Amino acid sequence: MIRQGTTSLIDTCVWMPTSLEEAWDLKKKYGENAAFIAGGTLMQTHWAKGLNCPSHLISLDHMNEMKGWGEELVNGQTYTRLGAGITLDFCRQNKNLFHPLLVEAAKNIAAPAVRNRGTIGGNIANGFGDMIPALLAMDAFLTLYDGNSTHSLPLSDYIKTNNQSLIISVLVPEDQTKRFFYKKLCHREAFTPSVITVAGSFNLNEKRKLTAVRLALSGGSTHPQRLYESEQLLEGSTLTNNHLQKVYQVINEEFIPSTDPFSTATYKRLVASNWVVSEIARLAT
Amino acid sequence: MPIQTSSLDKKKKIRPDGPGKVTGELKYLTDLSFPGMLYGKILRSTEPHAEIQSISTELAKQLPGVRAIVTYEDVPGLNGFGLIFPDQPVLCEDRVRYVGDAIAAVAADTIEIADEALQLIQVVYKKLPVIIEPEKALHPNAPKLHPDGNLLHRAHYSKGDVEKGFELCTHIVEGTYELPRQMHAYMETEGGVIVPEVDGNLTVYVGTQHGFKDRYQLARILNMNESDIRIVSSPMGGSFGGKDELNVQPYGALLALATNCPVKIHNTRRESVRAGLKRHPMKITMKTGVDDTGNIISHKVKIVADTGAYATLGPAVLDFAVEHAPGPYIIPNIEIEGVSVFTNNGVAGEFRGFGGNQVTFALEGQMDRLAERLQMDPIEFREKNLRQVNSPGPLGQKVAPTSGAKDVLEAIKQKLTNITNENDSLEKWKVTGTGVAISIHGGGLGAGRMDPAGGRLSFTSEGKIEVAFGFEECGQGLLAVIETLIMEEFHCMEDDIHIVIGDTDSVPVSGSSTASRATSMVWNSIQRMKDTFRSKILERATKVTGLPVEDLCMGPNGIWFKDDNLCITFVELAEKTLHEPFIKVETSFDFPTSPDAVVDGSHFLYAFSSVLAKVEVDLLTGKIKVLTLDQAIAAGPVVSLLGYQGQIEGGGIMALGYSLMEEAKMENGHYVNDNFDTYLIPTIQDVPFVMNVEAIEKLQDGDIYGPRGVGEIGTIAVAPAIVKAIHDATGCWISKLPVSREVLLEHLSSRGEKRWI
Repeated sequence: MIRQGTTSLIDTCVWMPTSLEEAWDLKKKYGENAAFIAGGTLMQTHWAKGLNCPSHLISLDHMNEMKGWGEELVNGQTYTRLGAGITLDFCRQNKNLFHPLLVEAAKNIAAPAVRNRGTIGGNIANGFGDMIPALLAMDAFLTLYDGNSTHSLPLSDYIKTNNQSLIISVLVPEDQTKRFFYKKLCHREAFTPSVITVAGSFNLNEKRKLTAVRLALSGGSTHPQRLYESEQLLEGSTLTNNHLQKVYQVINEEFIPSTDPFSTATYKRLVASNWVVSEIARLAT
Repeated sequence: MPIQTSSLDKKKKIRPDGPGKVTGELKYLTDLSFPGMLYGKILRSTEPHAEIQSISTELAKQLPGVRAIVTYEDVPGLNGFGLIFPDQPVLCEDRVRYVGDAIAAVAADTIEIADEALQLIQVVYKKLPVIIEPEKALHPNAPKLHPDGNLLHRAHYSKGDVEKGFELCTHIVEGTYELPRQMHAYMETEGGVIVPEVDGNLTVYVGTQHGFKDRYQLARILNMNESDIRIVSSPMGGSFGGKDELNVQPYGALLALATNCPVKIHNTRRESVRAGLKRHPMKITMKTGVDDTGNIISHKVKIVADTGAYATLGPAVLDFAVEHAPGPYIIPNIEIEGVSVFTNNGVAGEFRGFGGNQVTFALEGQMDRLAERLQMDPIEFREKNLRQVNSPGPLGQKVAPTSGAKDVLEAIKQKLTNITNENDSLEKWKVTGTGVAISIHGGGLGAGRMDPAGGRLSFTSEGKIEVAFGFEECGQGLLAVIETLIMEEFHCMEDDIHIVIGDTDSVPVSGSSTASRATSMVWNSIQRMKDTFRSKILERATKVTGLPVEDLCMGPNGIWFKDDNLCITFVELAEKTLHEPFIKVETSFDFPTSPDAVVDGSHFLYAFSSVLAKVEVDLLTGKIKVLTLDQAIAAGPVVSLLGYQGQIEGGGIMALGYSLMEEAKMENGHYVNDNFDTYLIPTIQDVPFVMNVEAIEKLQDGDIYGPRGVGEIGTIAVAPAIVKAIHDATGCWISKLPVSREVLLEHLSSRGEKRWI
């Protein structure tokens, strides 16, 4: 049992592998007694709550593959590659390097001390991070290492399974034409988990019809979700109040948030519908 | 008698403990270490209500590094504590009544070992039904939490005939207001070091708001003489009422005596949440009626307070709520009934505002609803019913004449004129609104209660003016108050002063650092001592210098001749008169009370506040942002400008948290939010950019009581002002804190479909 400042935390081994293979082997060797760790900002809060700290922590700090950023051309499409080890603060501070949607998402996470340590990879891997809806709205891919090989997977697929692969980098299509929004609601203005986070993007063609609509939602206790049905309903449509009201209802039905001690699912659905519809209305008119 | 104020700059000076706190150099009592010091941990109940069938410490005792384990069998004196009556077991023997109840305490070489030892102590419980609702606790068939049942205290006041009064009313508003359990959330959790001295005495370095009271309670538990216990109780990293009652002291003391080693106990945040006091959750029903011209005719109030498992100051908090239920208004027919009820929900006790916050939320809510019913401007409606300079107190008692109520309302009215001219939100889905509320708040412990005050001035052999008070610095700025007042009175410098507080071995009895009383009592003490002290010093200076006493005065660094010439420094004066008896002036007196109060605890001196809140409500989420929080305060002259401003702004922010986000939720007797990751207090991002504090310093001619304290008043009227602002913005009346966005959004959604484009 780990509590704040107890001996077992001091007894924990921290491994500093320098290659993916080495990191993977360590995890394999120690199994359940080991965990990968990047910034550790979330894991630390778990230990403070009395959860076990694994006896082996495998740091990803020295993993070159997870560092840096750059442009990559895949199948004719240009992507921005973000190493999984990029800190949230680095993302927040570099408007010229990264898409405004990512910068906006990073800006709204936790507090400076957390953003200084917390990484994009960790934010995705923990399953509830607020970068996820932003990345889903942008059709991001992940580059993963599964112990045998490196491969890429759309983030929208990654979130559907309990994927245990290491996230090496995130690939975000470079697309300056799409309209997008990102909104996060918390119980106070800063340094607290999200009640609900919504992100979306779409193109508006010359006939003022919506195309390539992406809607993604998540929350501190709500798994990230794409609203495929609602996207479908918006795809190719021109906006009218009546149509938006229909979209509003579909979102309310499609989105499945959790109820936690501080907010009900009903409330979260209401906010989600309000936000998505109002943002689309704002951006499309 | 107006205070002799110096220039504003002097009042704006940096607090003496400021640099140490900002740089981290200052050592709090929880920072102390002693050679051979052990670490203590307290085993608390896992059950909110249970019989203890057995406690086994055998395994834990065998753990290497464990030095002592104490249980109820090891309490030499009274196994109980409590500021009013000692109904809370120090260590439980056969029953636990909340999840903070202590069962055993361990001293060990390290915190980790102590922690591990706690895991090895085996307690067998037999669960009992958990009482979580005061209403159910009062049911005749409810299990009794204490021998006398579940009613801790009943308080009552009535005048006139409310029922007849209601018959004369054209409008009657009845509402029930629900107030949450708020956490003090001090930065420094409870803790310190307890040191057994070689002579068998005990020194307790643990923060508290009344050192002598801790000494009294500890002596009773330990079966020791009070004079053999020394309490060092200052400085503290915040208290807000939460550390007035004993917390870790008895356990540290028992362990220190058992091991003959210094023992440090410092609660983690989770331990603090679990064991610590909270603000009383209350359910307040008010029925208030007016005639067609807006005169309040009748006011009927029922207060139900959830006091949790033990008494502590629960009865006094209820008395205070009852007293303040009529507020600053003149009402001919009043009936107030309050009950404070035992449950298995934690322990509620003293908290900044002391029951006033809850009852003012309800009362001001009534005022705004009545004004709406009357279609009258809410300020005009308040003015119409407001107390006058010579009006009696809320319960009809004689009080010090004051125009405070009128003054604060007038001041906020001016601010309101400025604010309504501002541009409102341009964002489509946001609306703004403003609200005003006022409050009255009594200072001191009140009628029928021991409330001694006093202080001491001496001239030391080092040539310092030593000022001693039995108060504590808990962050409120007491040191700055003392320093400012002494500098003002004797025109000396910071360096000339030596302040002694928070140490029962070297301070006089001043009473508690609670109830907005310390500043007021420091000022009053100095008024009583200053002339004697000054003339003694000057006489001595005359003796040494041979200069005529009438030409001498006290000034920077020493005694000045005819105001322009330093003729002897304080240090020289001390050096040259070492053989003379010490100059020492003491005073002791009681906090002024009403001569004809009929209800225990009712007050004589009051402060007043008015609050103007402007909020922005997000129509898509129900989220509320407070844009402006202005307060006008009538509490007599300002002593320390930054301290005053800090109290009002800080109190305002604490109340903003109370209004919008703070709630220590309990589910079946267990805390839901046990840390600051889910118990949310405002961060700087939640604080309005603009917060104006206006101090109305005016006192009535002949008022001899000087500055009233402002430790609590800034927290009182904030919630009703915010809630009125929300109503102004949305038309939705909120009766429950913290304001639920869900309730608000539901209300907003019920208005039908939105026009999205």
